[in-house]
Amino acid sequence: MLALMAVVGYGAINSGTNLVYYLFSLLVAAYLTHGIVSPRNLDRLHVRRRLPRKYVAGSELPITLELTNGRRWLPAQSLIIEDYARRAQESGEAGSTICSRLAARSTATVAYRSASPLFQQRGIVEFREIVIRSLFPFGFIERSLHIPAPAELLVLPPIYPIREPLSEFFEELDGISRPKKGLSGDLYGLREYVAGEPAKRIHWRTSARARRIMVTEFEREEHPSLLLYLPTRLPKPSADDYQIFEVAVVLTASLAAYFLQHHFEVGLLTHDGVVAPASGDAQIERIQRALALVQLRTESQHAGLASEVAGADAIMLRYNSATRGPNGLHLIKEINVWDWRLIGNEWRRVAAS
Amino acid sequence: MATGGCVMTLWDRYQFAVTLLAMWASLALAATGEVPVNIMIPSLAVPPLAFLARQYLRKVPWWIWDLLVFALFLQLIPVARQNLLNATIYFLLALQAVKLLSFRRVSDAYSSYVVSFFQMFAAALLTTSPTYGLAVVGYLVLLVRCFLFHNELASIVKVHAKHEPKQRFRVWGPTRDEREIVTLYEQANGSPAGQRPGTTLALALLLLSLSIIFFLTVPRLSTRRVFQTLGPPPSQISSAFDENIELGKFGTIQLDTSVAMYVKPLDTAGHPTSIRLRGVALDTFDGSRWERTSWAAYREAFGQFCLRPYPLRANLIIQPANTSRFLFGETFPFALQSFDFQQALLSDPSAGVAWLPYPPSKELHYTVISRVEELDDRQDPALYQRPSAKRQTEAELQEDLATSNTSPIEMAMQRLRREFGLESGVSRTAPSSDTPHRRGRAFAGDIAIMRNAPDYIFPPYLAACLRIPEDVINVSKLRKLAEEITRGASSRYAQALAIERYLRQNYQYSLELPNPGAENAIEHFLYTSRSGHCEYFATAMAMLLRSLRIPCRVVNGYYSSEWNNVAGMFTVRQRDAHSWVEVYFDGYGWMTFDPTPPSALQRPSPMNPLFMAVTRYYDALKLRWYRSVIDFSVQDQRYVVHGVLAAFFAIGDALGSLRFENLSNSLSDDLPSAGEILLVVASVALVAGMLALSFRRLRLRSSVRKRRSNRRSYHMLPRFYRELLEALRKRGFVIEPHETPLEFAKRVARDAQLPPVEFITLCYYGVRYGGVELSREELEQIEQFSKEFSR
Repeated sequence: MLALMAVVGYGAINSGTNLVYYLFSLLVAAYLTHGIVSPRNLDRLHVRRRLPRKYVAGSELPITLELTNGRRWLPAQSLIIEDYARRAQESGEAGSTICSRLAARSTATVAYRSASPLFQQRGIVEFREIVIRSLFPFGFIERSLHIPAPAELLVLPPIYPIREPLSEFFEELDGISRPKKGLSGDLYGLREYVAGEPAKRIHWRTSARARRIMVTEFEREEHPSLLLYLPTRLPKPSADDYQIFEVAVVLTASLAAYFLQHHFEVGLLTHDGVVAPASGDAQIERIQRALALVQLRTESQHAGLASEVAGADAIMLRYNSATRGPNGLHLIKEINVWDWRLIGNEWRRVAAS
Repeated sequence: MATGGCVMTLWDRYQFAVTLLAMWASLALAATGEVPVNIMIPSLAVPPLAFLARQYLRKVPWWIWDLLVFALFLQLIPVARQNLLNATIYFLLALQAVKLLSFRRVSDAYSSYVVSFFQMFAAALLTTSPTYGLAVVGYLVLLVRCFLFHNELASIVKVHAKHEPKQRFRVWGPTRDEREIVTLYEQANGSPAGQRPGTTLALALLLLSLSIIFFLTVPRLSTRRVFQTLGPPPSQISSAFDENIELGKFGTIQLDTSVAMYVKPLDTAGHPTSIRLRGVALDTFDGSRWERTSWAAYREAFGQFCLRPYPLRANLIIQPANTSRFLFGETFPFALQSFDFQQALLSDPSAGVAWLPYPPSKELHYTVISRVEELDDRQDPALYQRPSAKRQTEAELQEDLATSNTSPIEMAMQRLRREFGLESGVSRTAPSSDTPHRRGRAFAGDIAIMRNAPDYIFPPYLAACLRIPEDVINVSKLRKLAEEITRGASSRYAQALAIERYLRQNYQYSLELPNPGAENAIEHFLYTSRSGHCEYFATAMAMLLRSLRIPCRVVNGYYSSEWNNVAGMFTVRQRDAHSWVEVYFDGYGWMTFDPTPPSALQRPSPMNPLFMAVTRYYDALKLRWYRSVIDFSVQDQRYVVHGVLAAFFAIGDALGSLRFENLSNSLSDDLPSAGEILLVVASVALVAGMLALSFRRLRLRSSVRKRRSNRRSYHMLPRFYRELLEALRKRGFVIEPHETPLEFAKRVARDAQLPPVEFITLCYYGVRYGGVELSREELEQIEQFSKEFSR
């Protein structure tokens, strides 16, 4: 643009023609118009990020940005919104999207899919700032507006289905804490409905007969309790150990989901902490959150296991020959991580342990 | 995805806008009339053909197009070699063709923008027509439109190209098909709403306003070195004004109604009813052809030269391109000024003419100050006496000219202003009826002064003005006729007057050539046919005067009485070309005589009166364009700046002096100034009020707009969902008012066995309500399903 202006300006001086002077003026005016309009285009723009409540690594969930134009008259146009984040040593663009036009005094919602490598692994992603860029109106110079928007997103380890029946586990667990057959979910009796109870528990036939609303009551389900033990301390972890540790974390999460589906009360034990055994949908999220934060450390940073789990029935995930079970824990089974492969988004055992 | 036959995608619309811009620039270049037809036709045809080729022959590799363009333009090289202008246009055209045919990336449009801009640049060098203003405005709007499109697409490509797999590698060219990215984006999200016509127009208006401000203020520097040679080469121009004019040539020119020039008196209050413009003075006659002897041709400094130091009236002359290389001025021209000449100016003070080395390729605009001589006011030069008061004035003027650093033309302008009462400090409120009297007095006084003015007459020139071609004309017979006519005339002036009167009364004006091809045309006119046009009359009078040893010459120029009251100027047409005689009197100088019957000069208008009225307005617009744009000079800039500053200070002074106790006094003391300020304030208030009202109305109308929003909301749906609804409508499935899209999809899936409808609907939900951008895989799936539906 500047080169063009120089050429036309030179032409105007040499020709002395007013029309060429006008063309030169047009170029200068275009540059100035861009200079005037471009900052106004980004003036009084506000943005708010809405993070998903639960985010699993690699899931490419949409991250929503609420864009508000606080100007009274002028719309904002041709906006590129870039979200920047970092995790550990890694930083970069979390994602970007565009907004073609945002009317004055209005709010628009745009979203981007988190395809960035930042979201491909578990852990905490720290959002730093949102940058709004614009080439409007003539694209000569790109203007940008940096809006600090710190936030944290806990990226949970993914869960992949385990299709193979873990029969040997059940055999092992059979004598210890298998669920009681025939009792779980049995009808206990009927009673009158209390306001607030779910409608699905209403027994309509009895209610019709009794001419008042009756609900069913079941016997309390008894689930066997199980701890998944993932050692997070090694004497001298190598680079390979760190890699396989990540696999172990994902496998632990998948196993937790598997056992929860099979009516176990599942807990998690690591050197960083413990998740007490429980059942239900909320438990898998608790375990995922805990697994999202565990770090493999050296033995010297060893911290004692929580005393409340001493004597619990546990399955240890072994990913290194040096991993060992702690004292006071009743290991009923070990799972060698290197026996498992993630094939087509499913866990398969490649060798019988 | 099935896009439908006539539906243009976002990319297509962008490409169309760029094509339109290229076409518009070519059209602007064509409108100059300077580009050869064999280059102009391909120049206009290339952009649309390139667009159609990109639309319908997408599978043809881009390098085949490049080869084709190269082969085609090889054929045109001989045309381009004619001159630099053709070569430049040819080069721009080839560039434009290549870029439009290989339009694959958003950034490819940059080249088209630059090429089209240089086309406008070339047009600016070649024309001064007001149509260029129209071309610039259109170009500006299209350019803004293209830029807005460009930004939209560049943003889309920038964001989405990051996620595209890098799989399409080419040796040259882009690694990704940006067209596909944009199309997929549009299918998923609908058209971006950024390029609205209102935005385009508002930006274009802002750009235009700023460019005008810059145009008015940018310093005018001129070295005039590079582009002088860009114009077409000098060629022989068929015109009435040349150094060598043969008798009879005017017969055809007089029928031409095209505009030869515009003449705007700078003092329009008392403009004359007609104007006589000198072009070339011819002194040598060989029996059939007049020539101007090149006694002296001085190269004058650019911008102005001085013929005589006594100005009386100033006229702005606008002379179209290629009319003539001679410069015109009202009889008798004294000085001229212009900043428009791109060539060295030549002048012959003896003949009182000025000319350019060759006809200009663009219109000329110059101001000529003339000593006006009206035939009805002529007197015998011997009777003129120099008034003492004027003698003082003349002495003062001579002194001023000798001592002052002021240039002669500025002196002339000062004097002109003084004479016309336009000098600052002189009241403007003199009644208009006084103007003719003042003008008449001024003319008489100046004519008296001119009597003793030094002349630039060389003796050889005067000798040439007495020469008669004796080998062709029988001089004794001619002298006998002249003596007969002038019998009883006591002075040379009386003799000249008698011959003028004799020819007017005893000869007939006719456009028909008297005995064309006769060897002695002038004797045939004098003794046999006794009819002819002005050139014959002028030649006959000159020969008769020379037979009496009175120096004279024939002058070719224009005589026009077509006054345009809208523009305040004379329109001079080619048919107004005229010839007359100038007679030299010792001690006085040259005086005009016109032997042509006056009735011949009253030419009926050949045009429809309504058309004439329209052309007057067009001429007025044209004049305004020339004055405000083409002729805008450093002096004008000074004037604008001075005007703005003066207005600023005047408002400041007035506001400072507006006190409540003496408001009435200030108004009565300085009513025009205060009134003007009040008018300005009232105007501003009015405009502000209207703006506020219009905004209020806009807000009131927003409720009306909401009613229309339902129809618009349909178009805001993602394109793929709109197309799905359309395809289902053709199959008889229409969404019911009570149905949600998902319920509708389930019904269709159930009744028509079309499960993908549910998938597409869920994608639509995600896009519409979740702000989700669909992945490439999802879009491909949707496209595949849509193809199946549309079958």
